[in-house]
Amino acid sequence: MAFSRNVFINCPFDKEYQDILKPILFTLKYLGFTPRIANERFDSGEVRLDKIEELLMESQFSIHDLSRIKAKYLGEYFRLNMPFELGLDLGCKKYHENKFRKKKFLILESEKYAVQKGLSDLSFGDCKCHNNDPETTVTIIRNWFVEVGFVVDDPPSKIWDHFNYFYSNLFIKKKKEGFSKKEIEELPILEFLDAINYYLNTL
Amino acid sequence: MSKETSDKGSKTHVIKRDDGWAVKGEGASKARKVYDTKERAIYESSRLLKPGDELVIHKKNGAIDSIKSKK
Repeated sequence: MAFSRNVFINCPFDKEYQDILKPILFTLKYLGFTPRIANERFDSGEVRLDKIEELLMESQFSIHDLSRIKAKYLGEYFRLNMPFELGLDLGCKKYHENKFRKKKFLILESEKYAVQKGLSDLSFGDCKCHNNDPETTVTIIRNWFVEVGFVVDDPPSKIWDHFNYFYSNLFIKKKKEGFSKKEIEELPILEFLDAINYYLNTL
Repeated sequence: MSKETSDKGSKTHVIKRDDGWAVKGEGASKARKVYDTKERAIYESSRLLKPGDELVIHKKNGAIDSIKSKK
């Protein structure tokens, strides 16, 4: 997998976030990129930090979603993994030479300027706000690649429509195979990515 | 996995848009119409279903809410 086509995704893995993650995965594949994500493989013997470092060093592009770092209730521990991995990625770019200097980052949040309240060290002028909306997320991802220099002919609405068609195909196929609605919505990431691959190959 | 297409009639989708809910034939370049509410989009598109057609109703996140067909 080529460095210049890999996109490291740093995001939460809770069930709620799947509504944002799935359109991200689809849009990346649609645009010809390879998502690289910590749960692309599960090996209990593998140190998670080593896996993260390997992924971000193999990826020219990174998407860091910091929308879940805020505590939701009193006493909840703050979720620091995402900002930590962003820091690792920034360090990778800053302290390495050559290809790593070409790394580009997209930082996502769910509320405008929320990230700046807790992480003022860096200027996040280009932090994009998805409002926890899947369709908006597709638009952000697609437009970001245009902003970093790629030519993308298809408008965001076309990609969003294809995501919906894909989901429809997946649903019908898996239902025939005996999957419940819940099981379809909770497919492992690798299985979901395989299904995207197949759908895109039929276009 | 094979691409699941209806071998009967056409397939129409009700899809979330930022300005409402779009009714769109699968593969069409443009939506037939965009309605303010999902309920209105479902109602209006259901009326136009012919035998063998399928209406795929999506949730806001793109997943499937339900599939309607006219026998």
